[in-house]
Amino acid sequence: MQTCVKSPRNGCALHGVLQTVQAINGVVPIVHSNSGCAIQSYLSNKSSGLDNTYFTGQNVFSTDAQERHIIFGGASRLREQIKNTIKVVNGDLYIVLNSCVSAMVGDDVEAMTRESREQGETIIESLTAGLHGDSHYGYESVVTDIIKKLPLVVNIPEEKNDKLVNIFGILPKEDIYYRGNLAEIKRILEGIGLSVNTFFSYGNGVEEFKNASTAALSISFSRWGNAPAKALEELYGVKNVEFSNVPTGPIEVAEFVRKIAAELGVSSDVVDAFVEKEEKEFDYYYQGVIDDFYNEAGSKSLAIVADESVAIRVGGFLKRYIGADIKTIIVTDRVSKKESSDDSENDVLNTIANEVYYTQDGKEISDILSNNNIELVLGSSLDRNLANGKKRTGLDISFPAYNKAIVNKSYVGIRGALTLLEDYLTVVKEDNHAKELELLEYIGQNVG
Amino acid sequence: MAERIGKHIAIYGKGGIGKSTTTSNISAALAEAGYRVIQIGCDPKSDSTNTLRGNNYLPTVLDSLREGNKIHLDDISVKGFKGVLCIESGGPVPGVGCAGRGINASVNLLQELNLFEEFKPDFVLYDVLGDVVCGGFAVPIRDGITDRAYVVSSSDFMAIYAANNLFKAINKYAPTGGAKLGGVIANSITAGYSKSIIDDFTSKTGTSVAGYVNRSIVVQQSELYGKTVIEANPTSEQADIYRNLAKHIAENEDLVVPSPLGAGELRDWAREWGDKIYNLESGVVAGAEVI
Ligand SMILES: Nc1ncnc2c1ncn2[C@@H]1O[C@H](COP(=O)(O)OP(=O)(O)OP(=O)(O)O)[C@@H](O)[C@H]1O
Ligand code: SF4
Ligand SMILES: [Mg+2]
Repeated sequence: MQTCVKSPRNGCALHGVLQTVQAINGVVPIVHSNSGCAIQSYLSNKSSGLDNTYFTGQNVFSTDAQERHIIFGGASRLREQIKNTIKVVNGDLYIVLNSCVSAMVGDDVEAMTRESREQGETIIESLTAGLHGDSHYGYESVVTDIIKKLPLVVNIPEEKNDKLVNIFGILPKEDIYYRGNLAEIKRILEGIGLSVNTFFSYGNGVEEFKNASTAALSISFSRWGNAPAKALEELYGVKNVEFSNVPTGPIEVAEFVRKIAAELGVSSDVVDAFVEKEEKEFDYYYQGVIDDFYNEAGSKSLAIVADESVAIRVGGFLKRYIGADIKTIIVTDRVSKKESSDDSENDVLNTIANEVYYTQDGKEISDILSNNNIELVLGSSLDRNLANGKKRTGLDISFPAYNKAIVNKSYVGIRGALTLLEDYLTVVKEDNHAKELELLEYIGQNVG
Repeated sequence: MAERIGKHIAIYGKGGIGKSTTTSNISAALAEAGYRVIQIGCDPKSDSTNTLRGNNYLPTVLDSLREGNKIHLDDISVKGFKGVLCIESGGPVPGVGCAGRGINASVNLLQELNLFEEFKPDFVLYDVLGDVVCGGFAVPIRDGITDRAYVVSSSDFMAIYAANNLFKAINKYAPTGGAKLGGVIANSITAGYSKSIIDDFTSKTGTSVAGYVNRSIVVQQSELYGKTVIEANPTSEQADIYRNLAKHIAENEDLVVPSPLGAGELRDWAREWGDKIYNLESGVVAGAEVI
């Protein structure tokens, strides 16, 4: 059956690949594509206040293939671009990325990177092209590619570090708060004495990928993290544990660290002390706003439009800690993976919301929201735009988020959970205030 | 597309079946009869017009596109026998790039260069390589570039299979302005059943035979001289065969949308013929009557 998706929010697989590698410090991407593929990704991220890593926007190296490179093959153009790129910028790792035209014409990208490797360059390729899937798949496949191909260009250390963990499944830019979220998870794991590879941070990302093999454990926080974690397990025996989402709130964090501690043999004294401290911190601030919630936010009916793992953590948290009335969850990242609809994530989603939908179609999402009497929407800017140019009240938790600057905000863990409370309550109060004003105006005009 | 200048004819057929030989002889015969003719080789091998221009060097359209220089018609065309304008589309080396896109690009480029307005041809013949394997190779019969196609076929099953594939492509594109079929050019006809096989195939698919071209040593001999039969052996019987074929193609306006056989039908049809031929070869007398 043919379907037409209106305003899809997910980019192509190349965009997923590109925005993932752009977030790794030390990586220089070289895109083998016709003009436009890379800039397209930049434009969508830019409008979401998300794009400012070193090799983005106009600074992405691309072969800008023209018709003659399609007819005669673009391999030699790629060879030229690889050489030029290496000449003008220093990178810890160069990655050649593939696009639809190159994949369709069948350019031998691998031969070009092999040639460059033989000349001693630290370069690998990811053959994932736009047509292979959406941006989530792009993350999954490029991270897996890096893990599998890194041994071609660097020496992988052999010794193991029984306190080191790898984090997968928090997708750069797809999770608009990925930087802050990764930092908070890192803080929590360091709190029980572990070291953490987040890969996407101000540290040396390439170095972290290199050391990933020495880790004692990989933690995957969404289905998109499973493939890279499994690759590490197969290649280096690094055990992996899968979670459906990132722990958000003290109960969830406690459960999470206890599970990880058990896996790695961290002493229970350390864990107990950490959990107690975190709970105290959370409670202290939570108490400060809880009355406000009862007074202001009690009966708001809300909808969440987000990737599965984000929907689970945000929805689960609001339901548990403030008793939010979540009418609807719309999952937007299950379009390219055809999992059965009765897996455990679905069960979890069904305990959080009355109704769960799976779509990334803008029209369908808008219809669902309008038909369900939703007062607050936690989703992307697209979900909050109404046809009449007005905006639905709500909170940005998904890509894309327009007119927003995002630095290191987090909505997970303990501190991120508190920020989520704060932002949610602010939106509710503003909404209530606006309604009050409307009412007063109405009374002023119509009464007395 | 703007009003077509001249009749634009695409010639298809299985690899090596005799497309270039036949097309060049048709061009030569038409030119000899006083028409203005362009022959465009749509094949990366760029050997379509060899016998029209005595094997002289001719840069291809895509060669000049690759170099990226400004292209003039004079650089990529040369006048051959009796003024036939010879052009080779060219293409990538085997195994890289996209030849289908190449055909597309060179046909577009020729239109941009106002080739037809400048030369004012009566006939334009497109000699298209091999089988129609992807959209690119169907370009000459799509988008109104040609309005008629002929397919060269022998009685070999694979040649007929390729012809049937072309019928499928015509069938798909004709309703939206693509070319229709002028007929099948039966090539390399030898004595015996080969004519009957082609006749039977055309009648099963609602098409017709445009002409029968014998398998002849004169063809090969002329080719060795770097010439068409029309030029090298103008008084031969083979030359007249090509002249008649050219005349038919010039005058024929009976264009059809063929009804290609389905995969199963084609297989069954071939098997039936296999049985008939077996009986014939092994001397079962009834076989001859069947044919
Ligand atoms: N009627 C014929 N009698 C004898 N030889 C023939 C005849 N037709 C073609 N040939 C010979 O068959 C060979 C292949 O012919 P030709 O190059 O025209 O085929 P083609 O279909 O253009 O091949 P390709 O698909 O490779 O372009 C040539 O050497 C040609 O001389
Ligand atoms: S879908 Fe293909 S052509 Fe489009 S941007 Fe992605 S890689 Fe480029
Ligand atoms: Mg030929």
